[in-house]
Amino acid sequence: MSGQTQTVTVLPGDQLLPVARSAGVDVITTCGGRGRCRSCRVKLVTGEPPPPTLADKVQLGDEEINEGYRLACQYVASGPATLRLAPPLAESAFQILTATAGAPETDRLALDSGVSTGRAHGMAFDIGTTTVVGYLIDLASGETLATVSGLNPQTVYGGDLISRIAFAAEEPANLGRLRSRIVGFVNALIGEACAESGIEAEHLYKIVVVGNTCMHHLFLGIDPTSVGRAPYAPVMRLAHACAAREAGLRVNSDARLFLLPLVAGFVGADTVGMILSTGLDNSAEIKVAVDIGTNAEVVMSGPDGLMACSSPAGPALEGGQIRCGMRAAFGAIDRAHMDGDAVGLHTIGEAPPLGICGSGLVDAVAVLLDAGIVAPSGRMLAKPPPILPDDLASRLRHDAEGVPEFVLVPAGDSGGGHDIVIGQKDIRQLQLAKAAIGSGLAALERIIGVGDGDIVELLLAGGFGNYLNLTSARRIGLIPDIPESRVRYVANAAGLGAQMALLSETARQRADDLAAAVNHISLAEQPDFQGLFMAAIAFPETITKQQVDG
Amino acid sequence: MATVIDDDFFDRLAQTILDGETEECIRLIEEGLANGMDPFDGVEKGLGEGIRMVGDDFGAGIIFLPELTMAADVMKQGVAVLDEAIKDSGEVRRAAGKVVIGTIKGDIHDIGKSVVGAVLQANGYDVMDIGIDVDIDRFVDIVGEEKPDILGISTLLTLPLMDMGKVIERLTEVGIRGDVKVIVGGCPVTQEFADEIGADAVGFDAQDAVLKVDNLLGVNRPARGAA
Repeated sequence: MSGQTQTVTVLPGDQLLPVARSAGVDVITTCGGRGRCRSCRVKLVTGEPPPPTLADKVQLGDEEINEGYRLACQYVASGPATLRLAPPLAESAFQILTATAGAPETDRLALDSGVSTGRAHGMAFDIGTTTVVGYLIDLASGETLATVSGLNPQTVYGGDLISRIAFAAEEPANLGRLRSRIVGFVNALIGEACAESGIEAEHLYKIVVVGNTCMHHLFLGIDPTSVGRAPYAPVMRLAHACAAREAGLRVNSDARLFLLPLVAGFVGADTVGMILSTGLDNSAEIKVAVDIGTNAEVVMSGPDGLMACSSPAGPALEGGQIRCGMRAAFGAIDRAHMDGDAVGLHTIGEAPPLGICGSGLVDAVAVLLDAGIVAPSGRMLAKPPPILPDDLASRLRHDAEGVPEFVLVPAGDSGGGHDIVIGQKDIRQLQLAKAAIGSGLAALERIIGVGDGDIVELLLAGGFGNYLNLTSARRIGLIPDIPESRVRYVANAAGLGAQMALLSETARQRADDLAAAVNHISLAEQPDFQGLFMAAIAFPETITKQQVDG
Repeated sequence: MATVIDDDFFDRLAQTILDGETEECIRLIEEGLANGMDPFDGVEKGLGEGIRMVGDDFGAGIIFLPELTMAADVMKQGVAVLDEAIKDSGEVRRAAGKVVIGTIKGDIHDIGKSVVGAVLQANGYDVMDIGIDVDIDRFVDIVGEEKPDILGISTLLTLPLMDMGKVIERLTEVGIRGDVKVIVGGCPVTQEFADEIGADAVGFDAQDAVLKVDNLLGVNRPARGAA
């Protein structure tokens, strides 16, 4: 890990977070610095820790408090101290999904005639709330020459969309801060891609950007506050084209910037990109594309066209709000299964486990369901435990309040010296996430009048789908119980859509047409949405046995 | 054979709430009434104890939203039967207090607010749910019209937060702030925020909301056994 130390002068009584930030230290505050998550925790290496606040106690627990952990957002300086940011900020510590346009694709060579020199290149960007991915492409051949990515640097102002919108609304200068962060980062990625491919930025003639509505607005410097409150209306929806220089991008002075259109406040240009690259707009069959993130977008095609909705899955599938959760980074448990009578685990980088990420949690809960430790209602040990293999039985215990928990990794085997535990509340968070996605899908199915069995293809997009074990996902009801042969992983489908739009004017036209045609469904306005949501909370009793590929 | 109305009977009645068993609940109530159960005891020692256990279990994650909603529904139906019996005896069951609850304008989140309403109702409050995306003026008007003891304002979003403060300001402007206690709640609401806008309390979850409302109205509940 980075051993870089920075000295920041804080006067007694000063809040640590704003002072650290103004000194240029990036501290991630997923909840926006309101003491409601643990992302900003710091550890005192030297010095006297300040008395823990209520938020410290709730988020960190006595054990971590005694070890000198505090939340940076709660920290009021009392004396000199050396602090270490607890979650590593180094970008290389995170796995970020990138994908190139290698998938079969019809439009690849239908190139624009606009730029005719042999040295014309362009870049396609997918600006996500968490990660930004860029592709440098030869506009003549369609070849991807470099793929670059990194964490969205706006993350320091809030991990999720809502806290970032709130930050923008806090004071007028913040909108500019958010914009310059992302524009600066896109420029940095442009520089990196150029260096990697040996192309000069001067030879970039076209840039295409997709992103969710909020990222789109912030990139253009548009106030996103209307997206933050019902009815979540975007300020603009149509595709936008302008000089790339005008948007602050350091590329050829004649280069054009294109932003794909938006559908709604929570169905953005990234979803349009996903529809474009998956070809859902050309399907009259029942196909479903799901981009699983903090907000999951669900798109369904059918004989009457496209329908889309967004459902707030929350951060559980990204390891957030999970006691021992973490992102899919080095040391995260990303897979779990029963290996004979014992629990088998896999960590990213084969490292000693530090925590559990979304795919690992899905696997682990599938194991617990199969073993009867978790009932379909989600309750742990609802009935006297069935006959359990010794390995499983030995991992069960009760927490201080008498609520059952399951020790995935005992402290001695972990990388951080802590037990890695799945508790009852973690299972509840996972249920909320899967119910959000499941009820979104159910609402669309009900409108079209079809059921799970009618889905001919289920496309999973986004970073999470890559690591997801399909059988586990079916077991917990995160995806419907359909033949796994009908489920396809489509990687960064939004980024692929941006690449297609970069290479083809026809594709860009298609994006405009489909964005105008998508029927956006607001889940909250659906009759009995609460009933659909409640029904989606339970785990399936059983699932169909299927032949598992190699 | 006559049923004995004892602690064991009330435990069984409480259990129907935990199990979400409406039919069994109503059957037991009718059996109890036929055997001389005081309907007030049925509400307090039977159903009330059941819903408090449900609240504790929900707080610990042992039960979840579907079970909670079901339990609140059984409670409601059980209380309705007992209220009839109370009315027949010429008395009235006095609600612990009247609560108006709604989600502030700019937010259409319904579930959390409804859960809080259901749990308050289950704990003996007369609850009026005025829905989602509720205008500031509507909150103020309803306080004037319905004269509730408690006004509950909810939001899950950050941006509509400030409008919660405006409701309180407006209540003060029209001179009825002193007539009602205001409790705020929802994911982004903190104690500091509640203090800042001058709310009387913040409820961090459904169970906490009951506790805070009890405190605001000086409602004392029987001491609880260990769970």
